[in-house]
Formats: sequence, C-alpha cells, structure tokens
Amino acid sequence: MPRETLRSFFTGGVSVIVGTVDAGGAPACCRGIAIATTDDFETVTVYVPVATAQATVDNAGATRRVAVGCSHPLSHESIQIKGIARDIRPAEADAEVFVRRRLEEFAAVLEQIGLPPHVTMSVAHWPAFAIDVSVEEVFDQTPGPRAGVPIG
Amino acid sequence: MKLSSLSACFQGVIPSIVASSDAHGLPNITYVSQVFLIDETHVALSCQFFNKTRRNLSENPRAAVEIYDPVSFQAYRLELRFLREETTGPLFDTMAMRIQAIASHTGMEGVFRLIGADVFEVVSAGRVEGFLTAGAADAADQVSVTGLRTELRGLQLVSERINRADDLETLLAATLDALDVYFGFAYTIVLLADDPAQKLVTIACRGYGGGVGAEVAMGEGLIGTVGRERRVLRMTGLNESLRYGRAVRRSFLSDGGSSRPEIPLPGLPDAQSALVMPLSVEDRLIGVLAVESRDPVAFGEWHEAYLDIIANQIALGIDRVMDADETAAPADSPSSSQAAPTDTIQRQRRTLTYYRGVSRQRVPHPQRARPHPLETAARVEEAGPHRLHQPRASPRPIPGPARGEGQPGEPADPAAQPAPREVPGAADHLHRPRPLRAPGRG
Repeated sequence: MPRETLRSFFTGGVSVIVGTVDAGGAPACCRGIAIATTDDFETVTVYVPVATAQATVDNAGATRRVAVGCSHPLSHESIQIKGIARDIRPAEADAEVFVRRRLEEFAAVLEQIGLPPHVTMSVAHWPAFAIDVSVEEVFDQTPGPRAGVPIG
Repeated sequence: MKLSSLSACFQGVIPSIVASSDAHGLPNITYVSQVFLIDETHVALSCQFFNKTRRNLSENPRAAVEIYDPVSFQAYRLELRFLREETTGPLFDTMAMRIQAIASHTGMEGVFRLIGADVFEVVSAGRVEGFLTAGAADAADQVSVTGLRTELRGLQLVSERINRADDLETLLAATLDALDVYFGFAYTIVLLADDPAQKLVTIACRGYGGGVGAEVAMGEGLIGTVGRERRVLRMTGLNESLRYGRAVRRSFLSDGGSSRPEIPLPGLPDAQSALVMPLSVEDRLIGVLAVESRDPVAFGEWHEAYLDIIANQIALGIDRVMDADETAAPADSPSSSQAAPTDTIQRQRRTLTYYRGVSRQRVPHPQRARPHPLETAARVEEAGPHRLHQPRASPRPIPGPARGEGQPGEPADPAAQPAPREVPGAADHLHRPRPLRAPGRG
C-alpha cells in the first residue's frame, strides 16, 4: 500500500475502531472518533469516547496491547495498526475541536451512503480519552486476497 | 436482552466490528459484513477469507462484537464464545447464498465465497449506554422499523386475487397490484424459468416503467442465484454489500486477477434492499419473484415469511393458468394438436417464446388486420392501474444507470459497463401469453 494511501486514513472521513484484550484473554472493542499522527506513523493517537470506551482503556492500561482499524466507508479500503499503548489520558481540551471536526467529516461520508448526518453526529464523542500507540505493525485489511498482508 | 429484539442490527446495513485475541494476548480488530442471528443464544459470523480472526478463535474462543441499529445508530455489544465452524448444512447454505449472490453480481464467483459459518454462543448482550447523546438515545427508543401489521389481511386478499385469476395476465397484474397496495411492495418483478436455456425471462413487473422480456442467466446476480439455488434471498443494506464485493474485486484485480464485468440488475439502480423468492411447484422451478426497495431495511423476517407463502401461491397460480391456457388453445394451433401438450417444459417454453416475441416487437404484427381480442381488452385496461402496451419492435437497454455505475469509491472501468439487455417499454406492462404455433421453440 503506497505511503500516500496510508496517509489517507489520517485525513478525516474514516471509520476508526479499537480492539484490546484484558489480562484474562477477554477482548473488548469500541468505536474511535479520530486518529492522528505527528511523526509519520511512528506513533498514532486515537481518540475514543469516555462514555463508551472504559473497558477498552482499562485493557490498554493493563496489557498495553492495542489494535486500531481504519476504513474508508465508501470503498472499504482498510488498514489495521497494531502497537503498544504508551500513554492513556483524558484528551486535552484543545483536542475537542479536532475530534468534533473528524466526526463531522465522518458524518459527511456516511451521508453519501444514506445515514443522515444528524444521526452520526448524535454519537457521543466528548469528553474523550487519548491513547498514544507506538506503531509496531500495519496491515492491509481491505477485503480480498491481500487482507492481512503487512504494509511497509 | 432478547437478541430477536435487535433483528435490525443483524441485517448488515452498518458493518459490525469484532475483536479477538490470540493465545499471547495480541488483540485483533476488524469489520464484519454481517452478524447472522441463529437464535436467542447463538449467532454466526461469515468467514470469507482465512483471516486473523479465524486463527485467533482457534487459539482463544472469546470474542467481542459491536452491532448497530441501522436507523438510530444505537450500538449493542455481544460477548461471544466460539463453538464451531460449519461448512455444510442449512446455516452454511443460507449464509453462503447471500455471499454467492454478491460475488456473482460483482464478478467474483469463486474468489469471494463463504469458507465457513463460525457459530458462537452469546454469553452476554447489552446496549452500549452513552453511545448516543441523551436526546438522540431517547429518540432512538421510539424508532420502529417494523413493517405494517396488516399482513394477515393482505395475505388473504392477495390469495383471493390469485385464486380468482383465470389467465396469466390477470393473475400477475392483480398479484403485483395487491403486493403494492397491501404490503407496500412497489417494485416487483416476476420471471419465468426457461430451464433448457438456463435463463429466467421477465414476464411481468411493476414500478419500473417496463422490463418485460429482460433475461437473467441462471446463477448470475441476485435473481439468477435464487433461480439456481431455489432458495429465498433477503438482502438488506444492498449497497453496503455491493461496496464490500467491489472492494474484494478491486483488491483481486490489483493483485493480478481477472474477472468478468459486474452484472447490471434488471431493477432499481439505487435499490437498497431486495427480497428474491423462487416460484416452485413440487420440485419444478416455475420462476422467480423479486421485490426491491430503496429502503435499506425494507424487508424483515415477517416479510420473508409472508412473501414465501404468496410466492407459493403465485407459482401454483401460474402453473394452473398455463394448464388452462393449454387446454383452451385454438384447435388450429399446432401446439394443441402435437404430442405432449401438457408437458411442463414445453408449456413454459411456449409462454416464454411469446414473451420474448413481445419484447422484440415494437409494432403490431402487420398480418393482423384486426386487433386480437386480448389487445382490445388491453386498451380498455390502459386507463387503469396496469397499463398494457403494444409490443415493441426491438430490444432496448434498461433505462438509467446500471447498479454499480458511478458508485462512490468504484473506479471507472470501461470494461465493467453493462451489456445491452432487452427490456422496458415506457410504463409498467403485462402481456398475456397466447397459444403459440411453434411448440418447443424459443
């Protein structure tokens, strides 16, 4: 997958999901609202709603293992990032604008496939946790024969 | 929480998410196109490719799934325990057929297929509190996607119309009208099977502005798959499924594979759901009934159950009427004097010959100076709800964009343009088959 395509998952209008597992092997999942990188994918920061991500952040705090999926809803082009949670914290107040903008961009994409924007915007998104994930592996997760192939 | 109360979430309109973990505690997260509801304590996930989730489940049977209501977006979480993989049997067949239909439609037969149905015990299920903001959550509680509840009365009335009909035209017109009026099925197609040619031929449709004569190869696309498998296919979130199929197609092609173009469907270019039923009498396939809607959650389980009953009646009605037509064939018609006049295949082929002829004619036959009595009747009917039209001269392509063209995310592919198809006139029309003079042809 070209680097440019990889970058497209960090520009908005993307579905973000997060998976973790507790120390006993029980997985948990939740939707993320936004994802960002400031060091060219060495680290990603994923924002998950406080309202729905408690089990996810508890697991990430306990086992440090995090899986993050990103997908373009219209094309199903997808990646999965696997890494180690380096920091888990309540998202800073100045991130709220960014998180809300990402949700609006996601809503605009879903509108194209029939979900009214007000429905998407009704998803709780703030306050949020910010999870910094040190990226270890990235996989192509687009449905098809290349699903599961490592990228980069 | 009763899983059956979440039936809309299991229709595959909004992809669900599933988290699993390997034996070393490394999590995996992915989307799943549909979580299949088996009963109140079991669900199944489809395995189309040998993937990480499948490998994880063999090491650690625990999984977490989040599903979404397609109308309100309310989320629900299921805690699952993997029990077994099924590669044969009714569950596998049911799940496989949906995938086969999409694979066939997108030219991905054999590439995109069900490998196994992974069956899970549902350990717990619950609403994700706080997923929606307070006001939206309250509104979501009031949303109902349950269809109209006059189905018993509707079923009775449809049955009456089918039983009263003494010719194919009346039967089909009355039935499709009743399905619209009493069930809200505004877009319907009836196709008759042409077994020797391995095709299905449209003999009646409603809501499309034409379509009689359109053909579907057995096994191709949603309708052809139902014709071949002779099983009901309920597709909700059709666009979502097609996008998924196209994603597989793009990935396959970019990986060096090759495939035939996507198949255009003889229906709504922007259908969001479809219910396709085989019309069978005993072990014979009479044809296929297809119903479409622009509503992604138009068809629930009760629609499927009731339409299954109606489809059986339509099949019996068509069979009965074709028998009657055969008996009433004019004495000078070779079809009535030759051998095996009641043979089912011969009867169906003669009927199809007529309908194919209808779709290929634009003007009345020049040798017929006087209108056929049925055409006179047709003109009388033209003012009514089922306008009957003069036959058209040559095949025309289906009007409007074929499904798949211009879809967001789908790259322009000149090779994927739909092949020309016979089809429509200017409005809904139904044609009555007449005894034909060349039995067995067509």
